[in-house]
Amino acid sequence: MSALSKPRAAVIQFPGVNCEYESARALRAAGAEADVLRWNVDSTLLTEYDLFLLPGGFSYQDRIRAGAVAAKERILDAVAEAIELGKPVLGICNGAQVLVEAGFVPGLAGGLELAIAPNRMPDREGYFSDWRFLKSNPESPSWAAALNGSVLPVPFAHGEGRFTSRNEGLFEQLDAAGQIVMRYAKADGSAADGWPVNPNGSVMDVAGICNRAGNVLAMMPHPERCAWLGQVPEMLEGDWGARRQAAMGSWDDLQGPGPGHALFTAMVAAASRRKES
Amino acid sequence: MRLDLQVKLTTIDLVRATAWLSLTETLGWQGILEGLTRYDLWRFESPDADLAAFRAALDVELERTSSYYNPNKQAREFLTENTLGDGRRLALADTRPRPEQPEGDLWRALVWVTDEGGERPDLLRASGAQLRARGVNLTSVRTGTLWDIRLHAQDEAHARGFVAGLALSRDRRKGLLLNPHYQEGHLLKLEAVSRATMEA
Repeated sequence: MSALSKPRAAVIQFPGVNCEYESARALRAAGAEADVLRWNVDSTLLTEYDLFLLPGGFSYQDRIRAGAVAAKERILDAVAEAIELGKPVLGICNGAQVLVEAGFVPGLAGGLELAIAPNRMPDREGYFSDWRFLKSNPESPSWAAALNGSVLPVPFAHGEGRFTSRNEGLFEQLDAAGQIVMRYAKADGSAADGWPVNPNGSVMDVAGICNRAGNVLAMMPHPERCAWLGQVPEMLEGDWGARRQAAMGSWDDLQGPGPGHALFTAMVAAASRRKES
Repeated sequence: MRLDLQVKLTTIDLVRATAWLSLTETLGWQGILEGLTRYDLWRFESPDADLAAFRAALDVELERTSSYYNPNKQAREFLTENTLGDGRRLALADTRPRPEQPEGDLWRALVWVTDEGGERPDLLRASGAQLRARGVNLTSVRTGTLWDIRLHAQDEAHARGFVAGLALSRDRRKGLLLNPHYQEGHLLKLEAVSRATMEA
């Protein structure tokens, strides 16, 4: 990819987020030019960007509820215009909460159709951080369908990660439309079967949902925290743990792509295709 | 018998300040919204308890544990007359568009926001055992955020509609205080008030 053809990524930094720089770094490693833009920047600048990332953290300190205040900010008018144009948008963790609270995802009837509620776990409550495997959906309309059904280990870290809704039948509808882009699963890709593989009680083991058009993805786990092989725990079950062990002692190998890299590559590729079309 | 415990920060409430700014400066309720205060509301139930005994047992429990309030930064008050009741659930159908110009009387609404009912079985177990030793059978502990909202409206129907309108989040331009997909808003009180009463 030539430098001229590189898509430009905007990573939007609301007050209190804390994953903006590693998210930008992961996008650059995947072939984009990435800038971190504050939430109060002149929003007309956003028209120059080809893809958007709302990073993880604690926007507005999770005041009122996670993502609620950032979801009302005026910069999201510019994001809404980008969504209408079909530009790829990714919300990770708190960014996913913002996309849901803003009503961009799942985007069926318009408006707020679901919640990412406090975790529901047996015998514990609140914040929970660990690694889980995600099974991607190759039938999804999302650009993440390029993951082609792979099972990837990704870390998560949240107190409110449970996708839920009081709209009866919503998740069945999303499932039928392929909008459930990724689910928590066992290392072999089989169904989570509830806790502890599903770490938060999310309906249908949902870890990530896209809008109807497929250009907006809200996911709770953190692919930017596993974009390099050196970030993978040595003792992790499965192929990625084995790769990590094999790379031990080799600086070059540890700087190789981790499981999260493929997601950013898919997103940047989608932005490139759109830009060139 | 039910006892409601209201807990308020004695320091600056940054959550309240953020909600105020978002509602007035971003969501357009400036001029209608007159005031906003935030409390934690704890609801304790003991069907057969004597009020004085129930309150005395809870007083001891509130000093024993820091689960309900922190005396270094919060003040607590029992609403002993049970004036808040169960309230009316805010519903999306109740919401009304904002008027161009604020008008009418000043209204006060108390909205209790609970997460999926607000039940706290962990605290029921812990405090239940303590209260049982004092002869009180605690059957329920619930918690949520109590928003004390003051706003201008023509009449009660408009006031209820505005409260629902600013409380129930519906999209990125409408509502803030609760997400109806896992939270509930209970309108515990809605009354017209005079400015003098409010200031007092």
